[in-house]
Amino acid sequence: MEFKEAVPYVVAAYMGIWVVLFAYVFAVNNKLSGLKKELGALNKAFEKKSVD
Amino acid sequence: MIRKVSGAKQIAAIIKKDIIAELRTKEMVVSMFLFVLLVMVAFKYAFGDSESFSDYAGGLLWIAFLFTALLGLNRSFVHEKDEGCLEGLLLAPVDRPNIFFGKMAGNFMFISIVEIITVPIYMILFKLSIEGSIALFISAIVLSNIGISTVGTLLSTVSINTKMRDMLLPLIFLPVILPVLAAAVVSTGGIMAGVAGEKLANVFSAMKLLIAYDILFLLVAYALYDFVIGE
Amino acid sequence: MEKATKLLFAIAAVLLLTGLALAFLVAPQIVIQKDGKDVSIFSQKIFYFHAPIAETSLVAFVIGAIFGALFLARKERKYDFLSFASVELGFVFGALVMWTGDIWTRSEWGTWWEWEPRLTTYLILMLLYSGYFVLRSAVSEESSKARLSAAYSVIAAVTVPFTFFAIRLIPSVHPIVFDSSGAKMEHSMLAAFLVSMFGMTVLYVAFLLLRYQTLLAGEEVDYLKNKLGG
Repeated sequence: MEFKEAVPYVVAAYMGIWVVLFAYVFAVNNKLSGLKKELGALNKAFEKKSVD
Repeated sequence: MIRKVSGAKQIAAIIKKDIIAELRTKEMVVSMFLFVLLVMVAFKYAFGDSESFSDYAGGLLWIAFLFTALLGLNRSFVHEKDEGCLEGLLLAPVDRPNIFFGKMAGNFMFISIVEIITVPIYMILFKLSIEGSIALFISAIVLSNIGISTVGTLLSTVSINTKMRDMLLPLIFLPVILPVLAAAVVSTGGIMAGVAGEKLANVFSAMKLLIAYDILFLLVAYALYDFVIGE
Repeated sequence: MEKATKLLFAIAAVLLLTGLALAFLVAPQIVIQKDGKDVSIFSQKIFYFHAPIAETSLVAFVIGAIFGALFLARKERKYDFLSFASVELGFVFGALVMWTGDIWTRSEWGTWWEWEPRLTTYLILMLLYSGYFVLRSAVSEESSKARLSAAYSVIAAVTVPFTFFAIRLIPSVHPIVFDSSGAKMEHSMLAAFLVSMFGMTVLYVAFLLLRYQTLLAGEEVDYLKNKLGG
């Protein structure tokens, strides 16, 4: 296969790698920060409850 | 005080229990046999008058056997669980790995019985013959059956302990058993065609793979069964 | 642990970008003889990331099984989390192996799928580990979930080498077009491979730590919710 024809394939392969890896980091990171927020809220609620 | 019986006696007791239950109901062997016959009739529809059927003879035989084994493996634990027998077995002073070996031997036996009846019928229906050594053919089938019943018993215990129950078994059993399928097809297919030379060497390497698989998974099952069957 | 994770991500990014630069700018173009003419194979560049990703996914599955076995031996929750995180990562990397492998198949052989031994092995691996996730979702009670999936992670890892050898029993249609074994590689190509491989491994460890933290946080949230509710 000629160089010109091969370029889109190589680009597609590397794009796929980066997109998937970034999407995964993003998804896991988002989940973690969401959980941390929830954890903070729960901890506050818990303190309030124990004071009451 | 309960006298502890030896391991071999424990295994024998479980096998005996399964045989008695099977003789009473006959549901496992009969339904497996009818199922495999129906699958073979379906092959006829798929292939029609094709002359080159013998090329696929080994592969089709094992696809039929694998799905038939799946049918039986599901039964073997579903009724234990449904009728509360599994709790009974777990409460009895039996070592957990011995439960595995007992159930595995039972499954091996039922699958083998169905295969012994089916292979000649298959040969007659599709005008096939075994060109190579019959002893080799039988040992390839036995080695494959050990693999199927070992992994099958282990994984059907896993699946029975989930919400999906028998729905899960094919999803986890088939990918794990694929090496056995490949090796069984290559070895039995090769022996049926009576190959020689390089292809015969391939038959032997398939059988070596089966031996290694059987030994390794027997060890894995021995080590893991305690964890799989439940607390 | 958070700082360490961030640092690892940064190191992985630097290494992978270096690997990329080495692969495209430094490593020589592969040229083969075809009908008496020199033909350059640009699509070979895919392999600089394809092979490291494949290695990393296998490592992830093996480490998942090791943590699974540790869970069964010690019954500590953290091993279940690590085992699950590792298997999940192996699965993500495995998906990338199939993606890059398939694109290479398309560019060199002109078809979207070939039953090439290595690609076939990966397809079976992906199906094998799909079963892991289905199994996990099919058990609601947490301790049985951990126990059964740990056992399955070990069973699956034992299956992998057999799958690898079994697929080679069936005669392959395609010859291996080129050999990426070390002997034939030039130093600059080897350097690009090694840097990418090291980068991917660091990335895996970073991901493992990140995923582990989410699982820990999730457990804590559940615990607090139960305590508040009850």
